[in-house]
Amino acid sequence: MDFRMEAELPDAPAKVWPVMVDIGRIAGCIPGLEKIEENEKLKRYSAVMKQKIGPFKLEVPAEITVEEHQEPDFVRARAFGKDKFTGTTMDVVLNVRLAPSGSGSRLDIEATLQVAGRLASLGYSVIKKKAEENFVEFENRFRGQLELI
Amino acid sequence: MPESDLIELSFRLNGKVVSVAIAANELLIDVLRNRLDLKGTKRSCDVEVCGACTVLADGLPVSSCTTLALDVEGKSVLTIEGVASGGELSRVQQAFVDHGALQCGFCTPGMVLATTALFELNPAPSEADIRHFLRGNICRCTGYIKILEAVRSLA
Amino acid sequence: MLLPPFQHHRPSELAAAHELMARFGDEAAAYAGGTEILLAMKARVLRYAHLIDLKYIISLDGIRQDGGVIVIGALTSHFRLATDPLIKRLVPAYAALSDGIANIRVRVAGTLGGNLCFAEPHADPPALLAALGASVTLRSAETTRTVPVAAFIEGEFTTVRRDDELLTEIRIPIPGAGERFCYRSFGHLERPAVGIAAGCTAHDGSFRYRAWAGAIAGRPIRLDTLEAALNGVPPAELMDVLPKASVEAAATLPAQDDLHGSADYKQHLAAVFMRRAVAEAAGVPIEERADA
Repeated sequence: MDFRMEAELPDAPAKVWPVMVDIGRIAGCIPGLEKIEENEKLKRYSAVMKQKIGPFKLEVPAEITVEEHQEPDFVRARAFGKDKFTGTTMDVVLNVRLAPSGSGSRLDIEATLQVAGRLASLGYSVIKKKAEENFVEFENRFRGQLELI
Repeated sequence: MPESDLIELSFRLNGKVVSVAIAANELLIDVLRNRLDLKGTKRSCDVEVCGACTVLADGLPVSSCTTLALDVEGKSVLTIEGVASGGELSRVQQAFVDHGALQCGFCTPGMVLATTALFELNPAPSEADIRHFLRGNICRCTGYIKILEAVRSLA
Repeated sequence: MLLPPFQHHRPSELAAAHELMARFGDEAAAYAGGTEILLAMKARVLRYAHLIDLKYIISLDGIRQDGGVIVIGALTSHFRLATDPLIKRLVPAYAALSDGIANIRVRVAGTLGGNLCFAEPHADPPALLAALGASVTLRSAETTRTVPVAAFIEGEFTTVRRDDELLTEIRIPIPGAGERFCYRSFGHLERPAVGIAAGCTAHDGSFRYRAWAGAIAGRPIRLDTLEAALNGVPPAELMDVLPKASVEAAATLPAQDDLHGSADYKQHLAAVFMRRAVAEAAGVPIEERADA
C-alpha cells in the first residue's frame, strides 16, 4: 500500500527541518502508535503499534531505523515489526522530502506499507481500509503539527 | 493460558450412549477419530466448506471439524460407521454402490450422511431440493453426475 | 488445526452469562453455533481463555409473533428460519434468504444473533433486515435497549453492542398486505460478494420502494438515490427507469477489490441484482436463469 502527502509550507526548509527529524513527534501523529522511545538519536527508535478491528487485535512492537538523512533535504526511515500472536508483520518505508518553494518549502511524504501474515491473508481488504483511514488521520494530525512551527 | 480440566462428555453415538473425558478445546472430529477410533469421518478443508467431515447431530448435518465435542452433549450423533445396520447397507449406501457414485471415496461418508439427512427431512425431494441440500458437499473426482443419479433414484 | 486450550462455561440463564462476561472481560467470548469464532480461533487470529456457551439459555431461543412484530430469539439457527412456518408465511423473503446462507451445515449450526454480532461484512441477513425495518434487542445486566439493524452494524466486524451486552432477540415488523420483499445475492465462495434487498409497497394505487445493498461494504447501505428514482413508478413502467437508475446507484457504492471480486465486478453485480430484486418485489419478475 502506498500513501502520499504533499504540503506547501510558509517557512523555509531550514526552519521546518527540526520537525522532520523529531521522529517522536512524527510518530506521535500516527494513530495507534504508542510507547515511542529514542534509542539512538536520529538512528534507532522503538514503538508499539496497536490496532483493533472489532474483536481482532494487533500489537506490533516495531523497530524504527533512520536509514539516511541529509539536512535540510530528506529523511528516509524504515519501521518493521511482528505481532506475536497472529504472526502479522508490518514493514513501512517512509520518505520525507523538503524542497525550497518560493520563500517557503514544499513537503513531500511517501509511505509504503506492507502487511503480511495470517490476519492479512484472511482480511487484506479490511486492513487496507483501516490503513487508509489511519493515513488520513495521520495527515490531519501532522498538518496540525506543522502549523505550530 | 489456564489449564483445561477434563470434562465428562456424554452423548448417543450410532445408537449407543457413550461417555468420554475430554478437554474443552477438543473438536468433535478429533474425539470421533482419535478418542473413539472412528476413522470414517474425514478432515479435508478444515474450514467447514467441503463437507467431508459431515456427521449428523439430532438428524441434521454438522461440520465436525468446526464443532466443539462439548456441543453434542446429550445429542444423538450419527457417523458413517452407524449408517449400515446389521451388516446391511442402508438404502442410501446401496444407491451409491448401484450407481457407482464414488471414486476415491473421500467425500463419500459426508455425501451419504448428508443424503441420509435429506431424506429424513423430505422423503420426496425435487431435483432443485437435492442440489440445494447437497451443495455444501464437495467431490473432486466424480463431477457429481453419478452422485445425483444415486440420490435421485431414492426420491 | 486444533484449538488452543480454554475454559468452557455453560450458563443456563442470562444473568449468569452477564456475570461471566463481567468477570472475564475481554478474555471471554460468548458463542452459539461457533461457525465464525471457532474458525478464527483455529486460524489463530483470535484467542480467548474462556468461551461462554449461550445455547442453554432457553429465553434466547424461539420464534413468536407479538402483535405486528415477529420476535426471533438470538439463538435461532438459519436452518430453523428457512423452514419455520411462521417465517415462511409472514416474511417469505427472509425464509428464502436464510435458506440460501452458506451450506446446510452452517445453516444448522449458525444463529442469526451470532451472525449479526460477528458482523462479518460478507453476510446476507443485514441488508434484508435493514430493508424490513428490523431491530435488535441488546441487554446488559442492568439495561435493555433496541437498535435498528441498520444502525447496529457500524463496519467490518464492528457493532454498537457494548462489551457488557448480549443480543437477545431480533424483531421484524410483519410486512403488510401490500408489501413485498425480495433479496438477491451472489458469491463464488461460501459468502456473498454483493446482496441487494428490495421492497415494494403498493397502497391505494401508489407505489413506494425500499432498497439496500449488503456485503459490498462494511455495513448495509441504503440505496436512497435508487429509491428516489423509483418512488411512484408503477410496476408495469419499472423497466423504463430501473436499468439506468440501477447502474447509477451501483456506481455510488463503495467497493473494494478482494477475494470475492474486483470493485467494478461487485458494482456490476449490484446493478444486476437491483433490477432483479426490485422487479420481483414489484411483482414483475425479470426473466432469469435459475441460479442460487
